[in-house]
Amino acid sequence: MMRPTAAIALFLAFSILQTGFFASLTGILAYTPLVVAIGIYLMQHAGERTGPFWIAGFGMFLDLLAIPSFPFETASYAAAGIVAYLSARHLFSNRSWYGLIACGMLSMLSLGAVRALVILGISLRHPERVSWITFGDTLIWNLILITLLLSVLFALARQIRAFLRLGYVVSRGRDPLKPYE
Amino acid sequence: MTTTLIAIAALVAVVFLFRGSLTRALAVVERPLVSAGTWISVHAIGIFDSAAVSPERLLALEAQRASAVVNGAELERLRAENEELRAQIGFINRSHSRAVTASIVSRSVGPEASTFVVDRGKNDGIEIGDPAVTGDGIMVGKVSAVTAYSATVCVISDRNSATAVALLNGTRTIGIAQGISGALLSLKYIPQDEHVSVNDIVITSGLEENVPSGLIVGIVNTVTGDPTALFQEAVLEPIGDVRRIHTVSLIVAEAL
Repeated sequence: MMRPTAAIALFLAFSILQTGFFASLTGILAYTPLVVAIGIYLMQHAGERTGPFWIAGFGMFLDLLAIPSFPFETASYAAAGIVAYLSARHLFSNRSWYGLIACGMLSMLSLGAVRALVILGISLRHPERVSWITFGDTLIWNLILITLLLSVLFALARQIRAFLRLGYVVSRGRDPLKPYE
Repeated sequence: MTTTLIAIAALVAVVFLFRGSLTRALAVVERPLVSAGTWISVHAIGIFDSAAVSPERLLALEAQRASAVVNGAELERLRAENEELRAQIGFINRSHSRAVTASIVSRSVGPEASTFVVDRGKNDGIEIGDPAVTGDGIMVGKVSAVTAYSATVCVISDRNSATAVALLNGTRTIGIAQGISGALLSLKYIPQDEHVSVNDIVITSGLEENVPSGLIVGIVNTVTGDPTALFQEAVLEPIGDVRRIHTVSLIVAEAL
């Protein structure tokens, strides 16, 4: 019971950091996808299967606290979580920097695709209220920011692995870099 | 995996059932984070925003513009009030409202939605639709959801936000300002015979429940529309920037 509690506490801490600190920053930094990046890192590079739940959970967190950036965030983030899981297991299973970035990019693109569908639905009713240029701009910055964040996490891989081996978040007996079974 | 699923389901249930209390508890941690982010945001103008002028000059110009708008709106309000009082001597002011100061505890900023959560809720008398203003009476949003200890404020430029406004243009053109993509608002269905100019000040009209008249919303940025068309449109630029504040005042109507 301790590991899920620790994982939830960490998830809440990073969610608060994103919606409190990063969302208050100026310009593009307000869009920093911290929780998604950590979820993708946990899934793709650390082999931790709770990663997709971090991503999907963040969508729920936004919707439950009524602070979504886009409508129906739970659906968008759930799709991104599923794509992160599938791509980390079957498409970009190589735990290199390229694999990590590719997995992150694909997950963010799937998040953007679901959001685009939602926006498309809105634009059918209110075409004047949707700016695709702003939407595309945000998506591009999200992709750039997640690349930077994942690169930082990749650079800190040794420290993260040491932290994970403490056993608070994953089983102490399991090597985080062990291939998927 | 099963334990994780159970834990997540339990977490969702807890968050859903005790959202207000949870927000209140988290506010202790979130408040300094929001303040730190806002401080960096205010002091980093020019680093991340490609400003053509120096950060100090930009801040001074923005303050000057806000001050001019506040003065203009105040002057117009006093003129209207003076006329009204002269016409209705003995009129009793029935504006029973008070302001509740609240700290922003979390935000979500995006091109399609912009909201923030404050640490005041139903227990402080907050209701859905109450306006959130800055110290100068500049309206930044309206309460869209409320729990016992917290309230979610939908920023006026949010796509789902609509505010009853009036222009300080002599004829007091009224309309509904609707958020559009980005940080702008749109004012539609303005009859062609109404004279709307760039830089006209936009205030709340008072035709909306819970929102008093005279709160500053923004200024007219662009006026568009074919002269032969039935209506013209205006794009409004909000004066309040939620990224640069970490406290707001919520205007609460008091029972008579």
